[in-house]
Amino acid sequence: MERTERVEPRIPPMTARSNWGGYARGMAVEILFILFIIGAGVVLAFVAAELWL
Amino acid sequence: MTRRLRHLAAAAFALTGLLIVTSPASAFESPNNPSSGGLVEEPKSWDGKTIRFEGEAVGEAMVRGESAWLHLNDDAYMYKNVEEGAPLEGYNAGMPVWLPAKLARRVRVFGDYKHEGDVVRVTGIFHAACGEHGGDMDIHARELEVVLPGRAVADPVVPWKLDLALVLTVGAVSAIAFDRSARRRERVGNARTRR
Amino acid sequence: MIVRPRRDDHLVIGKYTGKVLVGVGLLMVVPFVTSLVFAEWDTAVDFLISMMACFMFGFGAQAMCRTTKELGWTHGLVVASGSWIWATLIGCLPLYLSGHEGSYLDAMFDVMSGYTTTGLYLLQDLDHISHGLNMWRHVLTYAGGQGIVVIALTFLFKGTAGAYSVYVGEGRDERLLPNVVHTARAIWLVSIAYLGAGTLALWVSALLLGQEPVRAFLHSLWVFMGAWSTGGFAPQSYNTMWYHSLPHELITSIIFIAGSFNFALHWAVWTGRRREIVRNVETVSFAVTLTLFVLVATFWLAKAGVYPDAMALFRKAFYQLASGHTTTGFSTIYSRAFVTQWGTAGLLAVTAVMGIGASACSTGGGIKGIRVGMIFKSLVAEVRRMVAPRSAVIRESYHHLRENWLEDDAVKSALMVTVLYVFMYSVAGLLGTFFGYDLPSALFEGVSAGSNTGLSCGLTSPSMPDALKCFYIVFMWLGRLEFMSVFALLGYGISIARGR
Repeated sequence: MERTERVEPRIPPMTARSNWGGYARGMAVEILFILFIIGAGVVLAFVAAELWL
Repeated sequence: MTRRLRHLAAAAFALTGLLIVTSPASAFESPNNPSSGGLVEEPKSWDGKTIRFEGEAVGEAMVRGESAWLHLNDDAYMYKNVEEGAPLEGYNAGMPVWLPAKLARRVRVFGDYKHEGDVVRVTGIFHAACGEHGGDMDIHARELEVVLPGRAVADPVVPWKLDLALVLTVGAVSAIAFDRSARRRERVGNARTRR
Repeated sequence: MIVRPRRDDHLVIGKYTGKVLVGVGLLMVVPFVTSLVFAEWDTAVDFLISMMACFMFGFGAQAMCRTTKELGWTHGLVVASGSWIWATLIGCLPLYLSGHEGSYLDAMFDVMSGYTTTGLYLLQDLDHISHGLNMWRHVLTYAGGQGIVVIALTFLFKGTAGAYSVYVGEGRDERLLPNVVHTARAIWLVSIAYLGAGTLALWVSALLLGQEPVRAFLHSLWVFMGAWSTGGFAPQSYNTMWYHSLPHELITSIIFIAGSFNFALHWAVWTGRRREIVRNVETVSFAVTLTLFVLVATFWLAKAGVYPDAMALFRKAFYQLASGHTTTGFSTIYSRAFVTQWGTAGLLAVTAVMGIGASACSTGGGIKGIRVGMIFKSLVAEVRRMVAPRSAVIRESYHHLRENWLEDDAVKSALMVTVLYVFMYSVAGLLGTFFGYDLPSALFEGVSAGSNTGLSCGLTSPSMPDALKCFYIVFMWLGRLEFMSVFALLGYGISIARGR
């Protein structure tokens, strides 16, 4: 077990570079993108429904 | 070689036999005509009609302004649920009901793990795809009466389960101890060989 | 010649499978504590029994399988696929002991469905189960979304060289960070951050919808877990229909679409490469196919005149399609309504998006957006080659984290996996017809199981044939692990029996 430790490169733990502001902005970007997909769907579906109904 | 294959097949077969002990098929009849299942099967033919629907109020009443949502189950568990020892007879089935909040407040007990809910009867219009509620299938009720009051349900611990828990705890503790000692022995062994 | 595995091979597999089992036991602490808090003593004892069984087998396996051999590639794959079976066999104990399952097989079906984030269930009288048991159903689907091996990697494996193979064995092939254990932790970071934000948003909405605070919180947490893991379990038998709310549908849609994104994409966007989200081959492919099929379904449902107005029409069409495409399985209509209201064309549209499925390395299942994107691009390249002069060199590229050339090898493996999925879907559909169901329903249900979606058109029920339950369990398992590690397990079994 201990012997195999050395095989993996030693990388500073992820938490050392945590950037919570960046994560929050990343999450906001993702939510905006999803809202955009939904919005595009709404517009297209309404057009489609209007054409048909 | 083939004998080993045959053994494997036999083991798999025995295992499947152990796993499958299925309960009998459903025998419960809903008191409603149409039942919730019947409504879902033929939404078009009941759409816009006034129906009477009876079921156990489950979960909660969600009051929204002047009105409220109620969910009535007319399934095999509407009079007695599994925690009380009712036999298994399939999934839950029911209908959402939209009604004045003051009617919904008449329901005292809602069905959940610790309760068998009030059985209530409502009269109202069935919508296959309700325009007011985003196309949901629902009943808009004007009347409600409590047919059978609900009750608290106790689910006592079965004695054999406690015994089993005790046995397995002893088993788990000894497995952990065994693992610890095996690890220690290995470490000592390693240290010796290194020297 | 097939080489029979040696004793050491069995030992190393046993040792790491034991670790995964201990991980499953530790997970049960969450529902155990929940049932204690709500004074559900019988449920608490069920969880005590199951936890101790996990520890007994887990630590017992580790104690008996002492070896210094390292985890090799095959071992990793066998550990990954095998531990899903063991975790299912023991993980279903609390469900079975609750008395809500018709048989042990039914309980296994539910747990496999939970781990693989499928969402089909056979549990009966769901509206009367304890908070503890509901917590377990949702925790196991949340954990299964990240991968039960990922959990063990995070907490129990120490930087082992072979850890990467176990991780890949679980249908993952992205390294977010160079070290696989750090990758597992990054996956958890994303999931837990979303857990906080998503549960809070749902809680606020549930309070406004008229639920009392404690119930609202539990429902929010569970609905979040069901949505984020693209699982589809819900606390009530009515599923999402329970809430009757547009904001609730919007929030859950955001959560399950976010859950269907590649974790590598999340990580790239979170660490500052924001443009990745509009350029990535998977998000583009997802947006295109989703919009296309929403349009198809909207047209069909408008023609059939099922819904009274455009808003209702869009809400129903979008929610069912998005839920199917992300392989979640939440629905705002009754299962049977797919047949009695949506009709064959509606069924087939949902079947198609379920088959395509979510992104690779996400919590979702199905063929995956990246493969669809690559196959589409290679088709374009082929057509361009046909019309171009013979001397022209034509190369296509696709964007995933960086611009990648479309190499023949990559296309070949994408096609191979796609063929395997399509084959499995067809077999699943045909099997359904053998058991007497009509083809569209059988195909819908089979694809739903194989792509780990969990939408049902009413075929799955406690009274369905046991053989079909077994087949669905296998399809869920195959689909979640993307075949290869299951084949490795089969190969291992064959080499035990026939090797020299």
